[in-house]
Amino acid sequence: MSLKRLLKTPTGEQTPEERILTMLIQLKDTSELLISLAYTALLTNNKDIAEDIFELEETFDGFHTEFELEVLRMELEEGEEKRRLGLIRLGVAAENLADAASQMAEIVLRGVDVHPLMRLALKDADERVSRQVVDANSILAYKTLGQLRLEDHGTRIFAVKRKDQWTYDPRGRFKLLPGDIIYAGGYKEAVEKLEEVAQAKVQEL
Amino acid sequence: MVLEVLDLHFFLGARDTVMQEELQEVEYQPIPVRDLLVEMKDLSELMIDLAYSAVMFNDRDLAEEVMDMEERVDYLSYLLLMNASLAVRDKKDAEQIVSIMKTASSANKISDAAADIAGLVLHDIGIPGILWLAMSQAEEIVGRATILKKSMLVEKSLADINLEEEIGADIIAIQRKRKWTINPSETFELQKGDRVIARGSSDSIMKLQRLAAGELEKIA
Repeated sequence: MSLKRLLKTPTGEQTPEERILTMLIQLKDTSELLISLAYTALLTNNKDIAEDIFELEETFDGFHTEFELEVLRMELEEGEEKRRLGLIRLGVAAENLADAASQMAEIVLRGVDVHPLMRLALKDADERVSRQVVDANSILAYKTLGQLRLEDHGTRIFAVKRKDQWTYDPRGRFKLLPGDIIYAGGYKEAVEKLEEVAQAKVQEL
Repeated sequence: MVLEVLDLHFFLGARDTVMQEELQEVEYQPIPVRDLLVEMKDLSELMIDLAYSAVMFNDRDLAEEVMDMEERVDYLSYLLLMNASLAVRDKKDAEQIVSIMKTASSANKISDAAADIAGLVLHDIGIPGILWLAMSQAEEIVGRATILKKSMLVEKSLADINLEEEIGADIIAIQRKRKWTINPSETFELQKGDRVIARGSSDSIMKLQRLAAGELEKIA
């Protein structure tokens, strides 16, 4: 499975170690995603992104508890008891990262005037990130990322939100559907073009 | 007081004690708030990456690097608050400066969390061996190297040596004295004493380390 679903409790035929590993990777990916979204929310003063962050952070909290329970249940080799503590602390650190992201999103949601300097400081010279909903009439709908080959057009989708489900770093097999919220990054012109394509204002990439 | 703490550590067995560098004193310096914020943001983001890598590969060097950066972010946060305070002249400024101070405090929080992760390595807590094995099978690792005087990399710009193309090592950060440069540009010229952090396969990192130590004289 190359799709990286975020905050999905692993089910099926996994060993306890595999379950913990999968959850650990999800905690890591989610905390990193939250932080990059937080800077984007600030940079663009975008309340939709800030709300996504709050929502994702809430799911993250629940997932973190499940992870902790799983770690407490894990059987360890003799002499490895200390390692259980390591996993717990790793989870707490990821949680602190997620909190830091919410703290930044809060600035936007409270409508605090973002200082003009912030835009200068956070802006990556010509990189841009955007959040777009895929329109039913967009040529993106019902296509896999493999078919779309966005990289050839100078942009990349790094996260997709479908209802409550987030997918981080979606791969070629991932198929976009109408209503999906895509987070894309890349050169300014390329990202703006992708926005228009997602809104079905333009019918080619 | 300090002695007592030291004694206690000694009593408990000092093996796990991590050498704490003396805190750098902070005095006001006129530095643009923007520059301070950029360095704090870049460092804190890089630290997350390095800290997780340090745990996955049980890499003490990398973990120490993260601790170093954490101290730097702390230091920068003082300077940022000082400089930002001086920029406030009216109500509007006060409102706007809050966004900067809050963001800086979040960056600080991020760097603290990264330091906690790195601490797992330095305090020998770690994660279960079986997970460690699974995670360390990643194709890419993060490694570091210090450039010695006799290295052929000295006084070469990143464009000159083109390490990413030649050996597959992507330099993501360089420390000179205390200052970090994150994602250095092509024109950045390496000097002896620079500490370099790179991402690549374990082979390519090893090659970079040998180049930096002056053990290898040719890149290709």
